[in-house]
Amino acid sequence: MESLRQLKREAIIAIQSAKSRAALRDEEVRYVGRSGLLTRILRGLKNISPEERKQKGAEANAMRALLETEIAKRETMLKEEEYKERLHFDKIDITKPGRRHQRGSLHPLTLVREEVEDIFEKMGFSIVRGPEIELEWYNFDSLNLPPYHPARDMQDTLWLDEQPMVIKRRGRQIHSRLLMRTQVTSIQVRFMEKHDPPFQIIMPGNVFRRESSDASHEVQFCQMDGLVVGSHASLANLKWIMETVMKKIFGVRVETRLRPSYFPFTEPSVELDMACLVCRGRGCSVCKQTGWIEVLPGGMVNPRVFEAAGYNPRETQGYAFDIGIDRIAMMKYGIPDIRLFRSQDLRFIKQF
Amino acid sequence: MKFSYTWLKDYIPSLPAPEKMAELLLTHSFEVEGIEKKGGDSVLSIDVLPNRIADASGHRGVAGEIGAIVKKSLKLPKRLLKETNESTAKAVQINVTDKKGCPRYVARVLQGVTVSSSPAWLSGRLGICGVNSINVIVDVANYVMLDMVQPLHAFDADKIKGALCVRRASKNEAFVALDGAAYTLGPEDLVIADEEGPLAIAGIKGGKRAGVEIETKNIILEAANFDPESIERTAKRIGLLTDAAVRFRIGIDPNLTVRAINEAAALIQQLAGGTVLRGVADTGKNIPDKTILLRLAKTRSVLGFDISEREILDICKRLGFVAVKQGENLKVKVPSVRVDLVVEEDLIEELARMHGLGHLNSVPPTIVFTDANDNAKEKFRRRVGERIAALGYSEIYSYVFTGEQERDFSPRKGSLLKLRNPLQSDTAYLRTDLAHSLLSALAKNQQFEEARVFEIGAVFCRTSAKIQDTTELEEERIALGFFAKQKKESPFFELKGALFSLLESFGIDDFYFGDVSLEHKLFHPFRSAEIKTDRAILGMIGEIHPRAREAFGIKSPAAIAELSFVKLYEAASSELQYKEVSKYPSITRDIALLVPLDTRVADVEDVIENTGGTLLADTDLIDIYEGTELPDGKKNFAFRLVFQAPDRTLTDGEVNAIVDRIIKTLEAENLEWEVRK
Repeated sequence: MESLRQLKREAIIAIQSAKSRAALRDEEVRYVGRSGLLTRILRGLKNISPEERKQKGAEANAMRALLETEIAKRETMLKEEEYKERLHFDKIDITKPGRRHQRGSLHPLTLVREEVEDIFEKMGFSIVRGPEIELEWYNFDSLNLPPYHPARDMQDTLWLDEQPMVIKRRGRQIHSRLLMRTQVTSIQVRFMEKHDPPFQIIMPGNVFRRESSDASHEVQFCQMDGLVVGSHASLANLKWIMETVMKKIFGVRVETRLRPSYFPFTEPSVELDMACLVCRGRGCSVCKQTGWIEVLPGGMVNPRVFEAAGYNPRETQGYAFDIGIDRIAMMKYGIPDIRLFRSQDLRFIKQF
Repeated sequence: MKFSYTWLKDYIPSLPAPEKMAELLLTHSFEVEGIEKKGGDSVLSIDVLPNRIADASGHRGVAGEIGAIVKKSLKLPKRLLKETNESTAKAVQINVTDKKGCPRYVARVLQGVTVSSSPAWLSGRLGICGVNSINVIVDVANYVMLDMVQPLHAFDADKIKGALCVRRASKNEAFVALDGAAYTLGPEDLVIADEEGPLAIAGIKGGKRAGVEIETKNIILEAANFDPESIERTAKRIGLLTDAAVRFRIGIDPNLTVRAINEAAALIQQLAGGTVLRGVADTGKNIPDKTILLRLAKTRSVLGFDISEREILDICKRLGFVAVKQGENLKVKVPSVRVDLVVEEDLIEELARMHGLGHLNSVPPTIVFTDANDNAKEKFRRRVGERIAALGYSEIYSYVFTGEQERDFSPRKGSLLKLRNPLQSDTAYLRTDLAHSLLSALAKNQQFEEARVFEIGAVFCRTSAKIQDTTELEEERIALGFFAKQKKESPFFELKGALFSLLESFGIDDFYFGDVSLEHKLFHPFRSAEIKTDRAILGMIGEIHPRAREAFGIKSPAAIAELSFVKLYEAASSELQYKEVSKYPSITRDIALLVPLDTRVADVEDVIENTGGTLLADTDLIDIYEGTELPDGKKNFAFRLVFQAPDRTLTDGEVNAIVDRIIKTLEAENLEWEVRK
């Protein structure tokens, strides 16, 4: 079958040298089209023996398949070349600015608060909130602050111009004044009056102090207290929680130390310091030359607090701690002045 | 408080170097805030914790603390006191009329002393501690206080008329202090007085009249114990927190009185000569040492590790406690000077400190699952913030305090909450809405072409005359604020669009913007609306009234939307339900109609939707046109209607019939509405 072989050679050369997709289409029609050369050859096989025809037919079909593949290959190649040619003219200036979309942002204190909340929620803590206007009972009395404690002073606490509320606690009527809570610790007894142990909660929120603001003091700031009450909640657990939280926030290489402290509502009381991130412990103005910054006060809940909440103080134990969200945010982002947080200045806010 | 290094070294000869000592104190007891070389000594600034003032605001206390840490006992001075046969009790009469204010008053009489200036070692040590040297008598009194905590006072015995009396001051009673300063006292102040009047403000400050001077020969030495609350109150009121007051207001051991007065008398005798009368005049007696039961199981459970009995006993011994085993517990007798030790937990703290908090192993807690709160609400709060931020708004935090100006704009002026002691007059009230906070934020950011802000926070107001709890006084809100210097239409629509996206994103689909039922001073009366659902008013949205804008100094049109957090949360909490997506094609038809200029979109839209029936799947306003080529007083609305059936392909005929019906109804509804065909 010289003619078939001859045809195949011719056809492949013609397909591979087609200069355009139109030219290729012509070659396709010429060779494998309905009345193309290949068909014509097949038709010319009428007069041969059936066996021979069968064999020739198979050969011709194989050849058709081969040519179609070749055509497809060439087609792809030609298309690619065409793209190259055509898209060149579509060239854009990629340095031109994109279409602007409004970009909003979450406040840095929200970002830090949520980060800390996430750490605790993974450890099984629930988030509990309380009112910003608080009763003296929850903010001071129930937390074992004696009635004449300096913190209750007009100088330190913002009091509301309202009549005291009369509340009943353990059969006693108490006249409790209204104030802007000075600590979210005020949520502790509120919560314990309604829930029984065991539990582990965190209590985020705004707190208020009557003091003139400066770079490190504010009349309003964000705290998050933690409270864990359960038969095995221990000082060793508290230490682990404190260290773990600091590592999660500031990285595993953060250096901390735990030392004794005093708070009316915890006994024993402790304070966790971290090595100053600004000077890496060498001493600078941020850490007042000590190389350390107080970050996490806490301790074992004072039995007087359990007593105020109506628990059996001898049989209950737990620990509490307090995280200053503003301070953590200042250290995390290198913010030098606490007043920036409530400055409402978008040049500050939009950096986060 | 300032301490002298060499003084401490007298008591512990092997005292570690100042820096090392500071480190040991920090990890076991108190923070040493500074070490300063002065002469041959070092000044240590120690932050004695408030509960330890009673024992550690003196050198003996701090030395005892260090001794307990380094396991050394104190080497205390032995002072000899030579007494005459004459009895003190006969020479001085003490009359305490307020036993609660003064539980114990101890006095000694010294005769024939020579008042001169102090020797260098004494004035030097006082200087290290920041106390001025006056004369040897006053200096010894101060020295003993700095050593043993107990404040003492010396009177010139010859200037005292009659008995010493501890009493409440009468109303407007005058008093002149040693330094000449005058004070007016009252019945809440405790004084030491003689027949002529006050000689001292009890526990705070000595007076001029009976002060010890160079000529003084005979003195009465006082060591007393006062009610801490009374001292605190008086010191605060007259603004005089002396070294004595700092100690008395905490409450100190009454047994210190006799110990300290004997120490002082001996030292005076040594330095100023004279004779000391026999015994002390004393209005009280010693209290016994306290015994506290320490349960070992409880101790180990609270500390979180198995502290050995041996270590417990060792620590008790180092701290001067006497521990006796009783079954599984210890009975621990603590010195009366440790007034901070009352209950078991106080002892556990001592064990934790002395074991070393640094040596305490950190132990991961056993997690108890607690479902103590509605976490869905917390999650929702987060999502709201995130989604509003995604719409281009930046979150701000504001102070909750406002002033008179904001008060005037508040719709809840009458129920505003006020502070009794605000720092400034412009922070005297609590905000009743977030709108004010956002307006102040917008005003501060006018250097931008436009600004978008939001806040999530509490607002406050009294809801009823009688409240059950303070939780009733506050409400959580979400608010958005916006201004743009160049904008063709009211900023109202920017916020309306944002709210639309926000509410829809929470699956709230039954909300609408309705006319305001109550005029709000802050908002433009014709460019504001209430955000409602069928069940609740979620909040309010509006362009800001020019008068409010002027008050806040905002130059461009601005708008605020404010919603109740709880109501939004409730609206968003209804269960989402899957609706089947129709497999059949939809048919779209546009309707354009000319309407009078004051016709509102919703008026027309309502008619279309009410007439369209269930096959009308969607109605969208695609254009509003006002132009000169339209008839006078008219504008053009163009709506796109989408028809679709859930179960079949609609025919043109069906849809045409519905559209015809809509057109007829529209034209019948208002004769001025003209559908353009």
